[in-house]
Amino acid sequence: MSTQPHPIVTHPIVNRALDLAAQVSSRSRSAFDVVGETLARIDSANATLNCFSEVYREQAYAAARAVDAAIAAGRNPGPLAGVPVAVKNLFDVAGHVTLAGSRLLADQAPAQADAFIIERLRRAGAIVVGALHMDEFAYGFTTENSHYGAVRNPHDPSLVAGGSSGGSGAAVGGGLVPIALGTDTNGSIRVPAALCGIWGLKPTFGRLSRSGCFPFVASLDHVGPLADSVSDLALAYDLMQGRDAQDPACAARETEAVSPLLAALDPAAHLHGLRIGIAADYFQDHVEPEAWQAVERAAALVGATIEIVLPQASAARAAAFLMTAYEGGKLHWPNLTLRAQEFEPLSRDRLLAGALSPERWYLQAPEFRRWYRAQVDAVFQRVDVILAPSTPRSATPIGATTMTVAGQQMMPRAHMGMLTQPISFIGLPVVAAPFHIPGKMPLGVQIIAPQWREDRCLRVARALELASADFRAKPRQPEAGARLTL
Amino acid sequence: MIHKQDEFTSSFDVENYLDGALKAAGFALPTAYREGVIMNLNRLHAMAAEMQAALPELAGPGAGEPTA
Repeated sequence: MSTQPHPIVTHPIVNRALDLAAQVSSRSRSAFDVVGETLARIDSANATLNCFSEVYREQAYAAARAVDAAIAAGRNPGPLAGVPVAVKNLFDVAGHVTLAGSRLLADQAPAQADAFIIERLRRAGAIVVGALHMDEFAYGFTTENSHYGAVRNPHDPSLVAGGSSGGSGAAVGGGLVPIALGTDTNGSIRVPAALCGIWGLKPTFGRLSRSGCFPFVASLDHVGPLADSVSDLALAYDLMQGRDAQDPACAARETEAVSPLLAALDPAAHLHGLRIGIAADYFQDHVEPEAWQAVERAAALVGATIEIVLPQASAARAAAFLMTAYEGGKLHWPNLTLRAQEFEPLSRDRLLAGALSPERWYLQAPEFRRWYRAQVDAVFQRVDVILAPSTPRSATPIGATTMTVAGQQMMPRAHMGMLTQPISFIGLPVVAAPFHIPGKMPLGVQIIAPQWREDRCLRVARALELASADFRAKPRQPEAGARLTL
Repeated sequence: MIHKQDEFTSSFDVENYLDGALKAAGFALPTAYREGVIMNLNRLHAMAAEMQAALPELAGPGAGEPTA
């Protein structure tokens, strides 16, 4: 395995959430001021990025006052004291309508309670400043939503931000908030994280509760954080863990905090004892050279030399595609028969086709999944962690109906997640690492581990972040005056 | 036990399939949506065929057991 030389660049690791919480807790800044500055950034940048669907201005100020009052009274404000957080608009936020990117839900009653993981973050002192745009019902990889407009990439507003958690990717990648929440059924955290140049974590299926989250495909849905540093990502993840009987998929496991494992500043300390493999075959055959370059660079930095093959990964992706279409279509069938004209057109046709597809196609997918999981489990006897590209290529232009990948033409909306689907299909934990070299659009590397071993993903992530500026998020706000007509 | 299907060895008559599925569901698909639904059904058929093509590996000796 070789890697091309890169120019040496320095870009500091900025743990914005941790730094803000420290400043607020020590009273060197007030939570009120932090929220005010955040809202000003959102006001300035959202006209270009179109990532926020709603800004909770008054509630955010009220929450900030409460944090400041708690500190003044000598109470512990929590590890995320005053940290602004934004959430994909399919999470329930008390007092606000949960849109899930759809016009159909706009006339629903406001949520009466926060989603489980949002309640966890609030309890830790976080301040929820707003909700973020997404593909309708999370069915897409580009967040080009005809009801609410396309979310724009902070590194080039003429390009997509990825999806379906595109608003989450743009809000963090644009430097508006240090942490955002997303969901990942087939890659919807990992794709926008890669295309917007930030970190994303899709935990093991069942690790984090999905209560209060609008469903898409119950057997594949995951929730998780996006952030611009590994430490912030890990902290958010740690704080959101916990049992929840309201989500039948949520495992009865105690919190397994990873943040304490990440303190060392020597990359080698995080890699000690780990055998790191590189996913070849399907993952190497379906990328543009730049996307594979990201994997090579990561492999060189962490000393990965073992090439592995995930058997039938392409078929696994196909099975995930079938399950998604069928389960998603059946979920929305009642509205499809009554209010089809109100669906986002591209989602509508995909959901209709899924609902009308033969059940016999769908029924084979879970059986195939059992076989595939056994194959991948066997691979993990040889390696502890696997590296793979996050997306087949970098962000495509807004409105593009085709993209070129390895000489083939395909639709970005349906296929940008073709390398993430074989992994989430079996619920493995993955950190999406940003790969960003000057003058190029960001890309990503998936760091994949066996079930329940998020710690391994985050250890390798931390090593990459420490080892090279190529693997550090570089949040970028749109330039003043860069407003575009949506 | 996974059962292979023969339907992927011949071409998929998507128009005929869709008409039957709509009749069974008692749903009148608006004409404007038909082309998009057909395109997506064809894509799903291709995905199902690809998964089906992987099945011989599962049906052989040691099916369901790790091989790698």
